[in-house]
Amino acid sequence: MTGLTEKVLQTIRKRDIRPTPRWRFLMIEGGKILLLAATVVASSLAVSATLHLFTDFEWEGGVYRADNWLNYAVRGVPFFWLAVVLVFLVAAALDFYSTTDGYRYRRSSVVAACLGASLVLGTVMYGRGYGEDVDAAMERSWGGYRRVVWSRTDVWSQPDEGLLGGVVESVRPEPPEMIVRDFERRIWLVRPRGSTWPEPHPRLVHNAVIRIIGDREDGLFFAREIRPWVGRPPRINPLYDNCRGEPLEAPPSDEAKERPWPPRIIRCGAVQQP
Amino acid sequence: MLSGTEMEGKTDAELAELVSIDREAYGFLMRRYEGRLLGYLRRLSNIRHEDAEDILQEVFIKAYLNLNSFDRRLKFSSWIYRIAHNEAVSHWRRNKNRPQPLLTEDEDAAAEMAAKLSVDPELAEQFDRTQTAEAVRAAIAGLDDKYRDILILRYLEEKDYAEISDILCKPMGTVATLLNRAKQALRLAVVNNKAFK
Repeated sequence: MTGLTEKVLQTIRKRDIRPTPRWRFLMIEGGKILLLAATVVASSLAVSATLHLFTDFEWEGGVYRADNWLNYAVRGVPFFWLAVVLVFLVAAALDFYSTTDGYRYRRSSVVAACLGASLVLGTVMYGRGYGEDVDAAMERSWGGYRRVVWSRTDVWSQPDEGLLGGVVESVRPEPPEMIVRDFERRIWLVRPRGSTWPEPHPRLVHNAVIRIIGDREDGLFFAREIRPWVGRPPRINPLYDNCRGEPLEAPPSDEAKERPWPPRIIRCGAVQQP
Repeated sequence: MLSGTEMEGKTDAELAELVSIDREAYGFLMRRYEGRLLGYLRRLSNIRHEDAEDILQEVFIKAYLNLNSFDRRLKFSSWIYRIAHNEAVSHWRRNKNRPQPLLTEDEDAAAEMAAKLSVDPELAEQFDRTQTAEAVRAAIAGLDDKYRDILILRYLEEKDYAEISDILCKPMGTVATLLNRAKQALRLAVVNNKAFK
């Protein structure tokens, strides 16, 4: 045996060095694969939130001003979630490269594979409503979230911009007036711009969720156009839902239809006398 | 326990398996690679023989410790060359200095490289046998490290693309691209050197 070989063998004997057991390598490799899977799942959740916010945004015409459509469209793109997707994609690619076979694949192929997996899984998650859950969870846990990510509900919470969404509390036929509780639980007295409600308009009954385009003047809101709320139910402060104890989707009760004018407005935890 | 002759007849992978039963089997593995790896380490950087031996000791001890992570789908030589390459890079990093490769000073190594390059159809034009060693030495001195490393593996260690991919932990496509670029850079350096003369 050569000198170097003998020296190494002596070191091994003297220090009683033993090869690291195979199970430890398997555990490390398994951990890396688990981390990769978790990163892809996180990326997919971000994709599902992106899809939810994009599809749920108010893309119908007539909502934004002609000179402001670009700004409006930009608000509809969930850049925050796109950035999150990007971060997790990079993390997933790095996780992949840390595995035993990772180096065999080109960077572009790895990123494309991670993106493909996230898109497929993210679309499935979106279909199952996870995107909305992620969006709602973020809103609950991070106070500044809605300043960064806009939803359709936010679009219809701009009375100063002429956009008011909410739930009809009560309707008065003559003169036509209605009380609308917006998504922030504020109460609005809404009147038509003319002498009658602008046509066409959805059924204006208790608990109907509507979108109104109009003008805010002197504490009132004058409706120029009334549209039904389409798509997913609006995101309303949960306190509102709970304090009424009735789901928003429930058909209006006979008692509610015949509710006298002016309405008795119920606030959470307190009853406001008319 | 197997006899020395029986050990000699085993493949690298078989010897690696045997090490868990018989520690002495590792001696046979080391003996197979000692000369080759020592040459490789010195070709990568013109370090003293003693320093190369110190690095190689570390390589063998690391390889022994990680023997159970050896992936049987690879060639054992690729696996141990990878450890040697990484250990050499760590050594340069520790010393914050990568010396010039042996090729730039050693006439024989340069001549060996030149002889192999002169039979490469893409490079034959630039390398006539009378001035190849000198041309290679001058051209190689100006090359980027990553090009030198891949040329050494391809032409001096005679590794194929798959082996280089496993040693440098780069995809095969990247190895092909790097090798092409290395050849282009070498060709350009040779042409420039000739023109300068």
